[in-house]
Amino acid sequence: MAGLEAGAHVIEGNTAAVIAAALARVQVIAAYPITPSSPIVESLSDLCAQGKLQARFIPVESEHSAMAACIGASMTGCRTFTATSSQGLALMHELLHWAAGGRLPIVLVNVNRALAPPWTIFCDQSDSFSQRDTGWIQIYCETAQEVLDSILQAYRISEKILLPCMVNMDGFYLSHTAEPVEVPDIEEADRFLPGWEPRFQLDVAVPGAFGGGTAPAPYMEFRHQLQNSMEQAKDWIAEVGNEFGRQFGRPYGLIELYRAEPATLLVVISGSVTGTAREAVDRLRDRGIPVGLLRVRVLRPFPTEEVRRAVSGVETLLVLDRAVSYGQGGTLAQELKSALYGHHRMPHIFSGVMGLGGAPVSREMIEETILMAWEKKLDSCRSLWFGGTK
Amino acid sequence: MTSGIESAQNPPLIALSTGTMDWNRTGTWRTLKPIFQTFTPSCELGCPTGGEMREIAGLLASEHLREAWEILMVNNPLPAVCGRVCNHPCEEACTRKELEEPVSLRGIERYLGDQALKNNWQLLRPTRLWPEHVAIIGSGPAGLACAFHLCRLGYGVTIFEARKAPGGLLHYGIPEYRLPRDILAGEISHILSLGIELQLQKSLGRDLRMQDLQGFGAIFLATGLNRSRRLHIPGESLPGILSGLEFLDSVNSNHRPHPGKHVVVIGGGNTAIDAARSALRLGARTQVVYRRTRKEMPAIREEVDAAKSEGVEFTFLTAPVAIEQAEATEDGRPLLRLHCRRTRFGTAEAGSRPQVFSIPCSDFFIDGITSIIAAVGEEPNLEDLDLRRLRGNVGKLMLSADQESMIPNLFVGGDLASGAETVVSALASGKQVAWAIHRRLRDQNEKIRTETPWSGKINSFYFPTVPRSINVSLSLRQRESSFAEVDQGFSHESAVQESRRCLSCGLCTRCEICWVFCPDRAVEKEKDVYRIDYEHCKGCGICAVECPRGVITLVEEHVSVSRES
Repeated sequence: MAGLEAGAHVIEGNTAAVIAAALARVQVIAAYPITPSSPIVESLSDLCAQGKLQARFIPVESEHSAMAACIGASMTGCRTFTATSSQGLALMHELLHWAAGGRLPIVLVNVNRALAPPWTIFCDQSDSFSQRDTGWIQIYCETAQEVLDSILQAYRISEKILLPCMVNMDGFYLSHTAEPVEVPDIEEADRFLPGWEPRFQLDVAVPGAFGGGTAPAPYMEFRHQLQNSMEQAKDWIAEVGNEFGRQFGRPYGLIELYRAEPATLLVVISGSVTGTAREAVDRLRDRGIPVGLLRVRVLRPFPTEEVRRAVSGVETLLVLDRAVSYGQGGTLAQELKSALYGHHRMPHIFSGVMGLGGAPVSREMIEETILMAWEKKLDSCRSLWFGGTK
Repeated sequence: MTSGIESAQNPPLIALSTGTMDWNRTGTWRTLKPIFQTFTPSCELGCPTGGEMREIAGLLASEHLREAWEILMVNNPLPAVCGRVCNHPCEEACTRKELEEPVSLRGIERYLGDQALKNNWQLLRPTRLWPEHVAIIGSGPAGLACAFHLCRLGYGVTIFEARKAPGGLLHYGIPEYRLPRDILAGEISHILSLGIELQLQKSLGRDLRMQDLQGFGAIFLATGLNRSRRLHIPGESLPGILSGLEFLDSVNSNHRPHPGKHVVVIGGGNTAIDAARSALRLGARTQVVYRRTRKEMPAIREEVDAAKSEGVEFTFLTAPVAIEQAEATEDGRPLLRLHCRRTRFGTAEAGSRPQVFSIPCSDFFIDGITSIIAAVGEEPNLEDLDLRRLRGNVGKLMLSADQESMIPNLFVGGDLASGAETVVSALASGKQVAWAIHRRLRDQNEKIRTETPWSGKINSFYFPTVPRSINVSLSLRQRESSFAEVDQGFSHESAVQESRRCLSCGLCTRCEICWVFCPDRAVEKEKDVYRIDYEHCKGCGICAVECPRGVITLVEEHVSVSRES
């Protein structure tokens, strides 16, 4: 892997995640390797073994145990990190709820991979989209640079809001593809992300137990606070993204707009395939069709207000999903419909499902689908599936 | 945003309990209940005398040697003897076998017995509590044990011994290389020093009649088996053929016999092996002929091993058919020729040894034999004791469960009652009869200790393997012509190290495992014991599963709910 020294390196997304964890000075890593996130776990294990990273690496026998160990470590006030994919994330499911309910600022890098069966190691976003109700903040990255930057931001976000954060990158498209990444100087990283001072933690001097049995009414109170914190997180995520931009020259928001002013149709998308969609948009713009793009970077908390502002004046949304809620349709499309319901100028919302299990998605496919949406030839009640073997 | 929920002022973000959960009486959830029990360990159950080896090993492990010896003496007055010659059923039962090898309990016993002799440790002379005097006929292990226990119970005791020295089979049957005379004499004299009278050369039927014993409150007959079984084959009475007991008697009487250059021993018991190893030491090529195989030999395993390593030859699955006198002579004595036949096993019935059949036309001969020693078992000789009337109609001794005969207050024990067994079973028989006599004379329902046998379940996770300590043996060359003791016993360090291998089965050692594992903090450590807080124990059973020594048992709640304290 590339060194930790500051400057531009051509590195893979997994490497960017490792560097970010090191720059964040994580104190405990508990992880179980799974393709395509294994290199993150292996590299961090090496760094700990070589003494290059002053962190405790806890080898475990499953992802369930990995998250359990992260929860324990985080409760003692340690900055905690883990990485996983697909089945591994699914195995963590029970404890994802616990980490959020326990208000623990754990950062998890999920390298998106489709769920089996049929068995596959390739990319889609069903693994993390299906964890959207666990109370985790979820960030979806487009580039390896964004992976690095988002992990540093994730700790800033989580440690203030006291909710865990999942940073997602597409398996192989980002995890195993090398691209130029600007690695910040460690002092700069420290300035952006100081040490964590927990508001509560396990302390033998002040014995106590967290998350014990609670009566029904207080339970609801705790859960209401969780919802409130998610709402508050929106502003803080934006603030942290801006601050990051001021310090490093790369600002981030909850959503990102591309060629959207003015646009009659917006493609709504997330993850690495955004780059392909940008090209399709450019080509259609060249032909005089007023098309733009909206990238959802943060899925939870869902940026309802930003999305509502961005679509004012837009006639049509084409939501392209790399995840499906079976029996309903594209997951992101549902999020958009839900966020825009009751909008005074509710656009047409069409849904496309593509690229499941790593199925190729080309610029031509996206262009063709945009044109179908432009001509309102799509069924607004049903997702259009494209790509695959046809 | 609007909300139907009114938040408290500065609510915590997460439920935080700073108090305890004691208010939550999780004990009411319980359907199974763990209980602590002290069980009788398998070694103690295996020992006929009920030797408390677990407690003894525990005391030795913490270097409380004298206390360990005193507990040893409660059940067995001859530890230095037993520690040498016992067939150690305790070790056969030892749980440590599941891990690697049993604890060398016999070695520990011997070490403590030797320490007592070396340091002249004495038990307190018991106070005479009762007017009765008990007569004991025979000073073998059964008679000595009975005398010891009766004396400690407060009775007067007189032992009548037919021979010139006490000890019975221990003296006349077991060779010195296994049991040095000074060790035997030392332990016997300690027993006698407690206030027991010994009359030597008083043989019942010869020097003593039953009428002479009428003044005694009770009589214990323990004369052992002193008549060798015959081979019942032609030529059995030729010169040069003698019984195992006769041969060992002369070996042990300090006028060493001269069995010649080639000795054949017939049999597979301890007498046969003792005879063979003795003959070897007297310069003979020695051969053991046995009709079964090594596995079926009743002799103590280690003794057979030692015989083999010393050079005794074994011919298995072979039965003697006849003995003939050869024409050749050696040192003026005619040589013998043993006519043998191969044998095979029949099918075994459940729980019994398979029958042995001879194979027709498989005959062969062993030539050039100078002596044949027939060691095929011993039997009682009640005729000489003038006690034919103790036999019932079927010709067997008729005894009550307390080993009392048809003549009131006449008890019979040891090998005489049970047939050829072991030293430890004779010691156990003597102990049992002592208590039976006590109950008979005092007419009390003396409490017999009840045992709660241990389940045999250890949690082997907690016990790393530790190899069994090795005791020092005399070199093979040193054994060739010497009757010096072969087994040199444990050093202090090995004895203590060996005692630490004891797992303390069925006994709570306050190891804390249950306390550590209990998810309800329901194990309470009190000064000497652990207690379960049943208000909070919800019966999950983790303690019972984890307990290294199996002292925690889960019982159905309704069975024992009334016993709850």
